[in-house]
Amino acid sequence: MAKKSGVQVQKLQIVHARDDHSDPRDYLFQDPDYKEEDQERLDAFNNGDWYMLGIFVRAELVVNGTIQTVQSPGIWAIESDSGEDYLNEVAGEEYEVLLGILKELGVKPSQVPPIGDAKQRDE
Amino acid sequence: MGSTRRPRVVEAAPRRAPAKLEEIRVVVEHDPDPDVSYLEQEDFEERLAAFQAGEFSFVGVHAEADVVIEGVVQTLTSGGLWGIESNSVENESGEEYLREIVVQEYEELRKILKTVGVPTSELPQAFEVKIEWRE
Repeated sequence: MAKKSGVQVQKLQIVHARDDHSDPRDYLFQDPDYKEEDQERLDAFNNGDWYMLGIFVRAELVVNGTIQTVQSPGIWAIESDSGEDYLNEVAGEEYEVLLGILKELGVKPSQVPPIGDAKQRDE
Repeated sequence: MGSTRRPRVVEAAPRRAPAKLEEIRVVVEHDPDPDVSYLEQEDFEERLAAFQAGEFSFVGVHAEADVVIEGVVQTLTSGGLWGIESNSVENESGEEYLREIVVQEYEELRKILKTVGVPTSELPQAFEVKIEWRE
């Protein structure tokens, strides 16, 4: 008989968290040939047209009747206006990391809702 | 003629604990949303007046542990006990009551930590757990 895990996954969320610790100046202005474009990008950032973002996946678990949350470490310093495909790709990678964490807790991937069922939350 | 096979003995690698305990504490913090309806009962007028005069507030107590799972730090917590009158745990006379709640919350968290695979050898005794007061 398979050992029953004492950990159940209740909910899954893809979290888009504002990353105020990252600064685009850390990577802009590296190439003098793109100085003008980089300046425009920085002006748009300073104007609030875009911001830095972190993406991670969070699972709400029930362990011994108590709700716990565990989450992937996240990818940070992502430009908020990156294409949706890229943002989804990052979320998919974070989901895989979370599956590894949950596996250590005895939760099989088949017991975890698919990434497509996860709701997005902005924090 | 049957040949006898020498049994091969392979030493299994010791299983790594799935979760490693990094820190454990019991937190006492302000309860921002207490249910104070019991103060509206008969015979609680003085207590209600004391509360309204700011003589006491409410706190919650929970145990929490930082555990490393697959290289990522996660914080796991007990359910917590809320709506505790602050002056029942703050002063010397409340020490015993606070200790009672600490043990209760810690035991709950201990079970959770055991379930997620923290070796019991890493879990301290209840009296060894530090109490952290948070604003």
